[in-house]
Amino acid sequence: MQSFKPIIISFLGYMLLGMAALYAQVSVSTTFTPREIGVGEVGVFVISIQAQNKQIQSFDWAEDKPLILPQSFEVIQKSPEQSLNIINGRVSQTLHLKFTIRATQQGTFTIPPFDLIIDNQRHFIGSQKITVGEASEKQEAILQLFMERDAVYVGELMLANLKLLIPDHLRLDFSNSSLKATGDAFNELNNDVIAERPERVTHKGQSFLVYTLRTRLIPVKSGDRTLRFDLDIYAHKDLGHTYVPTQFKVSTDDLTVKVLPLPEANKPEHFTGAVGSFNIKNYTPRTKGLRVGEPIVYTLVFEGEGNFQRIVPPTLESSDIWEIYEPKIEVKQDNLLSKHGQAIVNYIMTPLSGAEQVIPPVTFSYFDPVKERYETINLEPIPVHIAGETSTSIETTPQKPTPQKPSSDYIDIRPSQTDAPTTLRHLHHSPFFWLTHALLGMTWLACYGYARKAHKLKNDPDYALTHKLKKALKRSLKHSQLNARKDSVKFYHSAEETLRIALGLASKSNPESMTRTEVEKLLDNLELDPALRLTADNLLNAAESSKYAGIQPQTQALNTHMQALERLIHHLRKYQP
Amino acid sequence: MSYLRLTALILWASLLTAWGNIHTAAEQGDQAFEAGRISDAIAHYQTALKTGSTATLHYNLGNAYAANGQYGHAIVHYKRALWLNPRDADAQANLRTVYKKRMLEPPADTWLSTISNLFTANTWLWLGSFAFWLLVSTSFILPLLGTRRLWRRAILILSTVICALSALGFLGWQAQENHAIILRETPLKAAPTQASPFKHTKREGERVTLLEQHQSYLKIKDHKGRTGWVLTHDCERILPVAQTEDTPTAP
Repeated sequence: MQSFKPIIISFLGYMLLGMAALYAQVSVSTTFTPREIGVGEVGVFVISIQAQNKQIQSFDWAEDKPLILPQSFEVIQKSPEQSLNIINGRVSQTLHLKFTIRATQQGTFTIPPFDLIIDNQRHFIGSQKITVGEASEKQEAILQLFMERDAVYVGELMLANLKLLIPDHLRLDFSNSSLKATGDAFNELNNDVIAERPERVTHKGQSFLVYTLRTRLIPVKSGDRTLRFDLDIYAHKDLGHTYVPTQFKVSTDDLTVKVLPLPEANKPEHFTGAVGSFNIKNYTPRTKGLRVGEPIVYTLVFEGEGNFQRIVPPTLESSDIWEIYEPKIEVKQDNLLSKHGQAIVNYIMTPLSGAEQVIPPVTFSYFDPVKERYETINLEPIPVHIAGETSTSIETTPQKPTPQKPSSDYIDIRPSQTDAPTTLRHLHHSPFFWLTHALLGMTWLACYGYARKAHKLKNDPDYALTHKLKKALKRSLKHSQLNARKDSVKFYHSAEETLRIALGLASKSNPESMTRTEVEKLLDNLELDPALRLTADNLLNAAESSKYAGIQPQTQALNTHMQALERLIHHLRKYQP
Repeated sequence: MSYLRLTALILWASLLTAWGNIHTAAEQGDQAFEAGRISDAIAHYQTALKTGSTATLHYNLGNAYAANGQYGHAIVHYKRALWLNPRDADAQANLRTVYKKRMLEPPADTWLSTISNLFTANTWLWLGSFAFWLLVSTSFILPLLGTRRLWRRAILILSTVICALSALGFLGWQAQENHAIILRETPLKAAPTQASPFKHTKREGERVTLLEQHQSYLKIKDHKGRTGWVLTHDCERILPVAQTEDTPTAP
């Protein structure tokens, strides 16, 4: 029996695995939430398909296949969702087809039964009964208004605090929501809404998120005025399975605000309508070193709490001492949660006469709504020292002065007939500049060449001798050519000299001290062409004959000898350095 | 030889005519300015500038623009007057006054600008050129001619110093070649388009450096290193480019 035990256990195991495989099946169910809805409300109808131990291979429900609904419903949204789970190597698939529907009629309705074909198997879906009740009177959101004080003054800056209660199932979208005050007695400073971090409270047994909203208003008309705020809300409703966008308006209860006119009694002469509580600081960048006709900036800084829009800059009148231009005001209000702010007023003033003067005093009055009385601030005059005489002509406005001859702070024009006209550009852009430099460069090269030659003649004897002989040869040859036409004695004399110089150049020796024998030797060393050698001998012989014997050959013979000499010199130039 | 004389005569006559034209228009400008007709004075001075530039003419035109409240134009012409005559005390004083009136910070005096302002850019260029040739000659020619070493060294040192100074002086002016003045308050745009957002606003009379041009916009850099684009007609070069020389921008 003991030996059969493992066989029996294995058999049972295989049986269990086989049963599990057989257990793989698909189940379909439908749900509708909530159980009961009101007219105009939405619900979600969900078809859930669960495939255990398998994956769905085929499904005949197209995404755009309409759900057959009674006519009293409309589909707002449909969304398929699916999930895949793998547990112990077994795959299970869940598919949810969600239909968000809105009821348009009261009554009991039935979604008719229908078939679904999943993996070639027909699944029957039973009918679903939906009960639609009366439209719910349950308030989705509550808006409450609170004021700082029951009574406010015309022109006063007042803060309105609003509490917005939103039920848990709503997710508020503040970016699209807008707040608006109704009634013509109040001016909204802006439409921005600042919401603080929400708190959770329970109101009449229901859980709400409470947002605190703040905005600023300015009452513009006196009397008992009704104030109400409307808030357009954009939110998403949480239906458990899905969120549905929703939009509705919520309003505060009407609140009666007592708006008081500003009291006429004790109203100061300088009051211009400012309501709040203010301080003023005044300053000018410098009080010394000012000059007649030179504008300065005088600044008043208003700080405090209140309506800065109603501050009118105090009037500073022009006089014989000061020319004062229209001031500019710049208001900087802090964020929406406070009444604090700042207004900066800049006066541009030009002194018209010199010596010790003062910037005129400033008087400013305002109504303090908390103390409920008028206040007046008197600023002391600021002493300044102005240099220079009384100016006769100054600019009328600092921004756009009228054309006129400049005041004494400019040095006057000069007579124009003083300078020669020129061009307003760099010289190196002009070809004249570069041409001048090209000429300078060439001159420099010539000078350099000359200096170098002079230096060489002075320091190099060989070069100096060669240079001297070259010049002498040129001169001597010219004489020979001249004499060949005139005088035979002179010709042979100059011809011999020319030949000697040419030989001296070729052999780098002094030709004057050479004897006939040395000349012959030099000619031998040069290994001349026999014809040329003969010519040289003939020429030397003729020269000697002419010199010592006084034989005068004919002119034709002179020409022949001249040509021979030229050929000889031409040949000897090859040996020249 | 007679041709040479004739050419010289024609050149001299042309020069005298140009001088005559410039001074006629400039004198009319002076008269209009004295009479308080500033716009007429500006027009006459600009006519005179078409013939040729003089330091006095630019100085007077600068005065006329300052009187007309066009401080950007005034700064441009004072700067041009100083380019032609850097030691013009009147132009320096009036330029300081304009800077003060516009509450602009004048350019800081550096050692380079102090050297540059001794002479005009062109004087530095000539001086440097001749010093260069002297230096080259002293190095190469004088030793060949056997000039005494002491003399040679003295001339060499002198010409080297003049060369170096001229190079610095000229570089100082050359650095200003791309400078321009903002003629009217204008936005410094991020891109050279009309719809481009702007980063800052440049004030009238501010000095900027021109970087490049794209159609009707100029890319500039201000003294704080901020770059951006402004319209071409909102700023003017201190030294006009060769093609548009002496053609002032219409006010």
